[in-house]
Formats: sequence, C-alpha cells, structure tokens
Amino acid sequence: MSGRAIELKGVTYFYPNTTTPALEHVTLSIDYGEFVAIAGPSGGGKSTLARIVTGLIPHVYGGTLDGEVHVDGINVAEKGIRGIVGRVGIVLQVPENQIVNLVVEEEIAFPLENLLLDGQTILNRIEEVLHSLGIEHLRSRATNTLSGGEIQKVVIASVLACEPRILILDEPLAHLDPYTVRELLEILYRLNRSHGVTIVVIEHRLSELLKYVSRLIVLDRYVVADGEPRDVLTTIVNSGSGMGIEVPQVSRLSAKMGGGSVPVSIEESLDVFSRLLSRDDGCGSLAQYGAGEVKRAGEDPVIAAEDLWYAYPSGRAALRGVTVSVYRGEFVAIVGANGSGKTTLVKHFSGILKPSRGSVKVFGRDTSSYSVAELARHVGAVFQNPLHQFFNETVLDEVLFSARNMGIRDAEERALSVLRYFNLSHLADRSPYEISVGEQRRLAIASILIYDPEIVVLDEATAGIDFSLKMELLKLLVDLVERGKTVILTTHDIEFITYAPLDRIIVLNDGRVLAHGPPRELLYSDELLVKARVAPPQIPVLVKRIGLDRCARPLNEKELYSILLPGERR
Amino acid sequence: MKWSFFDAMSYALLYEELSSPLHLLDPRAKLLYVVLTIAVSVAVSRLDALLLVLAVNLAVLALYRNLIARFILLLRGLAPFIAIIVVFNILVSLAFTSVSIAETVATQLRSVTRIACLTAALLVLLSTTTPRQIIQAFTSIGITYTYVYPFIVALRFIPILFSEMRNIYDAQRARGLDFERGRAIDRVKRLTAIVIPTIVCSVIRAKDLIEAMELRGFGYSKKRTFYKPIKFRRVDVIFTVAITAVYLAAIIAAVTTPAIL
Repeated sequence: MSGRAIELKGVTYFYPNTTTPALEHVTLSIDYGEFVAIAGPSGGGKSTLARIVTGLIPHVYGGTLDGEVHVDGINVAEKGIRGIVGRVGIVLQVPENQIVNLVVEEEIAFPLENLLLDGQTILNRIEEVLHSLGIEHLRSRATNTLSGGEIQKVVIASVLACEPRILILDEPLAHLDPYTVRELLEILYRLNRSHGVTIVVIEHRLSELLKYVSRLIVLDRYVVADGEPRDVLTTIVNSGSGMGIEVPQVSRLSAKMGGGSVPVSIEESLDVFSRLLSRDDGCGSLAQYGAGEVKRAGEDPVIAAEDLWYAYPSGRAALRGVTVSVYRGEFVAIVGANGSGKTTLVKHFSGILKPSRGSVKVFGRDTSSYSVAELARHVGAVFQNPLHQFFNETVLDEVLFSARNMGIRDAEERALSVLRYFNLSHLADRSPYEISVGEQRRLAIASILIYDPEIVVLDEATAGIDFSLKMELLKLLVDLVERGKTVILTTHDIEFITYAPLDRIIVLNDGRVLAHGPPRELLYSDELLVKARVAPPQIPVLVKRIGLDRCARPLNEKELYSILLPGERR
Repeated sequence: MKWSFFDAMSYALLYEELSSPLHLLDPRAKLLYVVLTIAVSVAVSRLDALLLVLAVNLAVLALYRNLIARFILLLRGLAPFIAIIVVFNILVSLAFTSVSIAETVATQLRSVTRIACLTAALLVLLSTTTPRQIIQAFTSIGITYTYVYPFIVALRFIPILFSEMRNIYDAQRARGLDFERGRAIDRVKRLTAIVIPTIVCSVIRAKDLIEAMELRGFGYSKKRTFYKPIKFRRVDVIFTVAITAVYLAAIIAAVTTPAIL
C-alpha cells in the first residue's frame, strides 16, 4: 500500500443522520508525481473525497466510513489528521475562510510554528515558498487587503511551506477570473514538474485545467470514469450526460461532429477543424452570425449611469467615470477581471451604493432620490451568496417574505406559482439551508421575481455551480428576457456568456468602461480582451485561428456546428 | 463621504501593515498599556482625572497617522448603543434613587469618558498588533497558545463580521426590506433578517477555519515555536514607565487635589 500517494479501497461514506451514501464503493489510487483532476456534478462527492483523504472525515465530521484509505502510506481513517499533517496539504473551497493570520508572512509561518520548526528554518521556508510562487511582494501585506487570486496563492504558500508530497485543491478556480486561473495552474504545473509534488485538483471548470493534468477522474458518488483526459472526455461527451462538467467547447464540438476521440485544447483541435472550416472560395453560405449591432439606441434607457465615480471608505476608487445605459428588454452582461468594479457598478443600479460623483438614473429618476426599498420595486438584485438572503424557516416563507415586503396581494398564491415556475414547489416546506446549491440559487431569484421587478440584476450568479446548473439558470434568464424583463448579469465566466443570447456586453477594467457592444464584436477582439484581462472563449479563438471570422462569428460549439451543417441547425 | 455603521466599524478595527512607532512596540508593552488603562479608568472616579487619562490616550493615538480618525469613527459607530445605555441609566436613577439630575448626568459623563479611554487603548492594540503577536506575548508569560488562539482569532474576525453584515444588509434591502422606516419595534424585528444570515455565515466560516487550522497542525503539540522573537527593548520600557507615571499622577491628583470638574 505504501507505494501510492493516495489509495482508496471500497470506500463508502454516510454523513451523520443520512441514509444515502455521499460516496459508494470508491476504489482509486493516485501515484506520486501525478497531476490529477477530479470532476463531477455538484453533490457528486468531490469535496467529501477530499475530506476523507485529509482525515477530516470521519474525525471531524463523524458519520460512517467503510473501506480503506491510505495517504502517503498512512492509514488516515485510523491515524486521523495528525497522522498526515505536513505530508498532505489541502486548500479548501473558500480560501479566505482559511486565513488565520493578519500578515502574509505570519500566515505562511503558521503551520511551521505548529510543527515546532525553529525560527531560522521557518524564515528560510518562507523565503523559498514566496520565491517559488513569485509572491515576494506580498510578504508584508495584510491578508485582508489581498485580492481573490492573491489569497489563493497565499493559502497555497502556507500549505507548501510544510513541503508536502501531496497537494489537494478543492474547487480552487471557482471565484477566479480566467487570467488568474491560468496563473494559478501554471504555478501548480511548475510545482508538479520541478518539485515532484503530487497534485489533485477537484474542479468542474475544465477548459483550462485539462491542458495541465495527466489524468481525469469523474466522480458521481462512485467513480464514473478514470483515465487519460481525452479518453474520459470522449466517454463523457459521447454518453450525452455531461455529468455537470464544463467540457471544453472544442471537445463538445468534436463530439457533435462524431469525430471519435475528442480534442482537449484549441491547439489539438486545429488540425481537425481547419480542414473542415477553412474556405478559400470566400464565405459562401457561411455568412451568418455577423458582428451584430447595438439595439434600441434611440430609446430612453431604463438605467443610465453618467460619469459615475465611487470610492470606498478606505479611499480606494472602485469606479472612475463610468457612463453606461441599459435599455428596456435588453439582456446585458458586465464582464471584467476580479476587482474591475462589476459588483460596485450593479450595487449602484439597485441604489445600495450612491455615487461619490456623477449620477445613476433608473427610469429617468436619480437613485439618490429613492430609498433602496423603493428602488427594489423596479430593480430586483440577487447577489453572489444566496445565504446572505435567507433567514426564514421554509422555502415558501422566504418567497412570501419578499412578497409581503412589497405589499403584494394574494401573496401565497403568487408565491406558490413562482415556486412552481422555478421547479421548487416540492421543497416549499424545507429549510432554505437544507436545499442544494443550485436550488438555493433559484430560490434567491424566485424571492425577487415574486414582486415582478422590471429589471433583474444578478451578481456572479454562476460562481461555484456546475455546468448543468449554469445551463438551467440560463434557461430561466432567457425566459425572463422573453417575458420583456431587462436582465443584467455580472460575471467573469466567459464560457457561460457565449451560450447566452446577449444583446450587449459591457467590459470593465480598473473601474472604467473599456468597451460595450454586441458579443460577436467584443468576444472576437483580442486586443480588448487582453486589456481587460478576460480570456477569450474557445470557439472565437478557434474560428479566428482558422481565419473564418471574416465570414461568421459563432460564439459556442452549437452555433459553429450549425454553420458547418446548416441542415441540422435547430 | 457618508459612512454606514458597518463600514465604520469594519474600517476602524482593521489592522494595517505599517511601520509606525506603535507597530514597533513589544506586544507585551501594548497589552500592559491596555491593562493599565482599564485599571486607572476603574480606579479614578473624578471626571477631570478621567479626562487627563483620555488626553494621554489621545496622545498615544496621535503617534499613528489615522488612529484619531478611526477612534472618532469607532465612537460614532458605538454612539447609538452608548446613548441607549446612558438614557436608560439616567431614567432608572431618576425613577428609583434620590440622586440629583446633575449627579446622575455627571456619573454618565464619567462612564462615557471611561468607555472612550478603553476604546482608545483597545484601538491602539488591535490596529497595530497582529493576533499572532498577541498570542506570542501571552505564550511568553506561560499561557498555552491553544487557549488564547480562539479569542484572538475571534478578534481578527470582528472587521470581517461587520463587512459580512454589510453585505447581508445590502442583500435584504435589495429585496425591499426597509430598516429605516416604521415603528421601533418593527425595525428591531426586521433585524432578524440580518442576524440569522450573519450567524449562519459565521458558523460556516468558523467551520472552514477550524478545518484549515487542524489541517495545518494547530494543536499538534502543546508547545509552539515563533519565527520572530519578541524583545522588550528600551523604547518599550520608556513607553510603559511614561504611561504608568501619568496614570499614577492621575490617581494621586484625584485623591489629593480638589476637583476642577
């Protein structure tokens, strides 16, 4: 058993007071030096697996664990967390919740002090790890001033300082913008290659990750697939189930075209698709999905921000002269890197923040003349964490609460109808805290839509949810737009917005509007995306590499497929 | 710029990573300063002497660039709670004791001055000392770190808690909950919409933190090393002696001289 980094044999686990196992007969092994991705749907047991491997289960969580778990030769189920401290490093799902200390240097020293290393050794390790992650400049920074990506790196540094042989990261990419994702994966790849650290990344955003890993395991309570990423993806996409995984768009396209083994990156797909897509004879029948144009420019906007400036109490300017308008019935995405000012901007739309300078008007009236509650009748805002909203005993009460706030007549009837619409009526009597992440997200939106606001604003609504839940959410949003609502969403999930029938994208960078326009124009502009630190989605990159963008500008694999095989377009 | 309660509290208590004279003091000197301030505030019952203690504390705050501003922010944040206590005390005194209004008001003034003194001293400690340094100070006098850590980490999370409450407050307002209108009793009832999500989010945060600490060896041994030794230097002695001398003078003056106020 001692030859393997991680070895699980017949592992079945039940959380306390549950009758359905979170993991069932899981048998898998990971060798030293491997770089492995574990994917699967939300609720498929990925985080449970990480907790078992680190000894948190059963030693902290309790429950019933059957089977054998060996990590770095240690029987974790027997020895517990102390048996593997220092040997295995883990970065849990929400990195900012793991920061114990106030200064970066202290945070890195924390585990080493616990393990009784002497002062000089600790200082040497701090220097080494800061250098190897390229974060020397953060050494004296207060941890509460770090960005999401910086926090992630500091937590990794603190774990690496113990020189673990195995590093496990649970959904490390969920809240990071694409540029930071790439930076982080480069670091992990370097650690794996030059230091031989075994790396296990639990994640459902695979597009970028697959370029680095040598193996992909798909988990849905049991091991669904395990092997070389290309083979596993081929199995998954051909099975049609998707397993909640964000399969790269080029892999989906290849599967749609029945191409056998699927490519996992744009580079790999170029050979296949360049033959199929290249056109020497002009555009021919391909001239569809043109650049598009901004609609309704002549109408009065429902939201108009003019020369909007906002500085946080600490003095940091978050918005610098933003001028944007949103028109009735538009479906708009606000994109930008972490810290670009997306959330700050939409908080102005709902009146939560008032401009330091400039103005924001909703239906022609200045937001400073509205109270937030008054404005909520027109602008329903759903923020990143649904748990910030819930406090009632049941799902039904949660929706009713909003209805009563707004003085809705026939509140109960309306609430039941909204729950039906969101496919939540079977959960009406359950606690909002007991339902799944996807259901919580839907409930948060339902509790806004009960009072029928004309404008719906969603802040990073796709963060931390799997691909099928994202598509479920998108269906709801499209339906809202079709019903005449104005929908505004902020996101750094560029792949997601390629599936959304957006009228417009607003690109923010460092508190300024860098550009706004139709998706087919902006997502095909390399210069703009680089400037905004937004990674371009795969299909536009592929189409541009082949030189087809002069003819057509598809955004996702379905659109590209319909160009190739117009007869099969639905 | 208008500061909300949550912003004010969150910002005022935030540690800042700078190299000021107060940052450079030994954490034991700062802990002693807090203890002495508590002791003198309790020991002295004359307003003029308490004002002298407050003046000393304000002078200490002035050693670091924005501590006075933060002190004002903190007091403004605490003002509603202080006001409720003061009004309640005055009403109870007038209703149930024979103490004159003037004396009752003077008593409350003394209490408010004491609160201001303690707030200033704690602000100096929390804004210029990291929790780890405080733990190191306690450990150096023989207290096991595993006992102290939970309290100190709790202190570190106070600004984060206020920031989370701010987000929850915003999320609730965004769905039409008006905390500023209606009868006082209704407004208090509406606070459950902030309190419950705050508790839930704090429990989740605490759970994550405990897991992260355990996984990084917290409690692995009863002992612990510290990578940077702390030294009680001459400047710490001078600071401690100066504070002690002024506080002693305040106590002696309060006992031996006639009251000015």
